[in-house]
Amino acid sequence: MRHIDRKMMMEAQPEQSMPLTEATFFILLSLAPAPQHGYGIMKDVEALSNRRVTFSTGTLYGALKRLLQQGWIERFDNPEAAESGRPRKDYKLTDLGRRILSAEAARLESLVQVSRLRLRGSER
Amino acid sequence: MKRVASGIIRLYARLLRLYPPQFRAEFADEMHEVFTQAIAETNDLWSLLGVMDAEVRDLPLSLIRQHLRERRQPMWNIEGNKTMKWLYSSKLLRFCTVTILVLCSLYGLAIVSSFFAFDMQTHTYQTANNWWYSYDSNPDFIGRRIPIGLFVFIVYMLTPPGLIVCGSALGLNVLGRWKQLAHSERRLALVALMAAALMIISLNTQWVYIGGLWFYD
Repeated sequence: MRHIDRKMMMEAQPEQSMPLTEATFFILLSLAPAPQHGYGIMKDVEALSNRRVTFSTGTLYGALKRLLQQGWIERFDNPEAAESGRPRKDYKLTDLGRRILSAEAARLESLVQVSRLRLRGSER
Repeated sequence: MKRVASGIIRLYARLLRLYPPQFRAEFADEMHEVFTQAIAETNDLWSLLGVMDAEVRDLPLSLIRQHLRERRQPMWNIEGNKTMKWLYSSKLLRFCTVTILVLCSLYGLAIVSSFFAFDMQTHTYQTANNWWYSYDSNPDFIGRRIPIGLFVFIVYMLTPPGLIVCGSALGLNVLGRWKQLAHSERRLALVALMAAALMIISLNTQWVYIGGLWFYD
């Protein structure tokens, strides 16, 4: 009976946390190329989803808190980007978060492939 | 326009106070900054009201969600509490679960073996019942069944303190870090706690006797 806590379990098998909600997927996706601050994530998600997914600050930070607790993202001080004298808080993907995002992307890709195959078959 | 914007930002700062304290301490400044940025990017009254409208619409659900989440936090915060860390360790959880399950098996074996010791095939329920409650002075038990009697005695002596110590430690461990536990650990710990509760309830009651008799039949 080896101890595996939930975070470790997800690390071992990212597919355990699948499927991701659309909001979670877009937040992780917006952090994939580079770290971002809250407002950046909000704007990026809007752009990535063609304004289909829009966050209020409450929803965004609720989701960010959950992702921080799950260990999928990390928060850090970005002193360079400070505008009001205080260091700005930025968010970045952790290795676990990146693995989960890749696993979800692969899952979606296989879904698309299967649907395309079926649709092509039914058109004939 | 500027006055309306600053009024809305002030109102938003007040609304942030409705969030639970832990969430507020962690994110309120950032949320305020993000909202101020969003307002600063609007260029007319309608887009400004649009931003406010989206916030206000999402606010009730977001508030409920955060308050519920904060309530669902573990009962005790073990972060940084070095003296209590041993209590919330996985090793202790495993040890207590296994100990309780072993005690449970021994307890079951003790009940069953005591019925074999009383030779239930030739004695009536009533005789066995009498023996059960007066086995100290029962020559049949003392003479021929000493090893089994000794085993039953030791198990009966070990069970209550073992259950109280391991059950309390396991209960505190499970309550303190429920969210960090894997599903298999939760299941096993709950089974062990239920078994411990049943054993404690059954100690010194007729249920022990009836259970053994049922098993024997």
